[in-house]
Amino acid sequence: MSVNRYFPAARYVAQAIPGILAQIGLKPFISRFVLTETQYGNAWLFVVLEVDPLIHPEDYTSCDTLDYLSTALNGLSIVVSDSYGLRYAVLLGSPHEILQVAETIIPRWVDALEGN
Amino acid sequence: MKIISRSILTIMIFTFLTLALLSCEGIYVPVSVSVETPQPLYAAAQSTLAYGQNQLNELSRQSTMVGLSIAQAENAAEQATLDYNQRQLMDLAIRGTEVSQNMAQAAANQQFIIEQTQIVWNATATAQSQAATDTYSRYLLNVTQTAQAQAILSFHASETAQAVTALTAIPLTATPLAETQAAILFQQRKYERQSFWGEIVTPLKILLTTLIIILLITGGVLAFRRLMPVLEFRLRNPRRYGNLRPLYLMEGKFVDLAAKPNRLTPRNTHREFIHQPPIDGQAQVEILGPDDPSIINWITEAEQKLRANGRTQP
Repeated sequence: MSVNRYFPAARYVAQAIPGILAQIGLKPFISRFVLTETQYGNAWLFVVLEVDPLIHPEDYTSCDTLDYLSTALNGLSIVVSDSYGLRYAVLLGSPHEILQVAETIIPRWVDALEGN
Repeated sequence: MKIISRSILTIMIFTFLTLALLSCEGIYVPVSVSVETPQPLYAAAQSTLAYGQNQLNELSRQSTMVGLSIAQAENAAEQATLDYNQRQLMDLAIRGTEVSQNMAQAAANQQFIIEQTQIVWNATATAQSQAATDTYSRYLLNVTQTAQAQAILSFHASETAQAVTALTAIPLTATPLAETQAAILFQQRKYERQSFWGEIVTPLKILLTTLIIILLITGGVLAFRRLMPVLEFRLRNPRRYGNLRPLYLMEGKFVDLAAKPNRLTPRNTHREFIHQPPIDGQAQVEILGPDDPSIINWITEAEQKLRANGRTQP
């Protein structure tokens, strides 16, 4: 399958992240957005940051910031990749997540059908 | 008569006293003279003077007694006694004169002795001075003679050394064998020098010349590399302001200190990274394959951290 199926989601995240960072008082020093899909089916959107060392980069990598971003992006998994630069890695899609969703939703449907 | 005899007696007494005082005034007693005098003669003169003084005193007393006798005789009108006393007065006058003469002679002797002593002392001092002068002269003479002797010895020693040197050198060069040996030794040393020059100095000269050429080439290359930025700068920046401005080498870079401040102000590199919403409202998203070298490490790191967080399992 083509990675293009994640493209709309990637564009949505790309448009939303600067505003989310601004909400928590961080300047959106973003240089580029890179979308890719691994051989295991994980679709990653890398948000490349160019943060000056003088502007406290730790504010961009704190757990609170990541949780706030994840919550604002409807629970998407976000990790920080800080080797040779600073990046947010947003997991747009994964087969395991689909299974997890299925495992979560299917019991609800069964319960609903059984009248519980 | 009585008055005349008394006057004569008075005159004689005065005469005796005058002579006695004159003799005493002429006496010279050397007290502070340190020179040695002939003591026996001097003591004899001194005793003569003392004896004469005593005799004068005695005569004076006897004259007084005679005068008193004359007065008594006058009172008694004894002419014989008066004559006798007059003769006795005349005798005493004669004896006083003799004593005065003796005292004058003793004083003259004493003065003569003192003068002779002074003469002898002067003669002794003169003799001593002459002796000292002679001694010093002899010392100077001896010193001069010693110096001359030493100079002569030194001259002889130097002559001896020259003679020894000559005697040592002559056999070395004078004989034909020695001359031949010297010539052979000279040739041998000449060959050694030529050999040394050919083996060491000539290759060393070549090596040094090569080294100098290499250093010149290296210096030229370094200078070219160092000056190349200037040439490039000048080619890229022709004379905008009329004259060329001086450049300064600071930390290996050429700096134009006279440039306008805005040319040296660094750009705000973050401005271009601040996310600017695209004109059409759509963010620019690049799509790259997972094998792209620029993102392989990103993917690996992200998945490792995702597994570490425990949110998903591959």
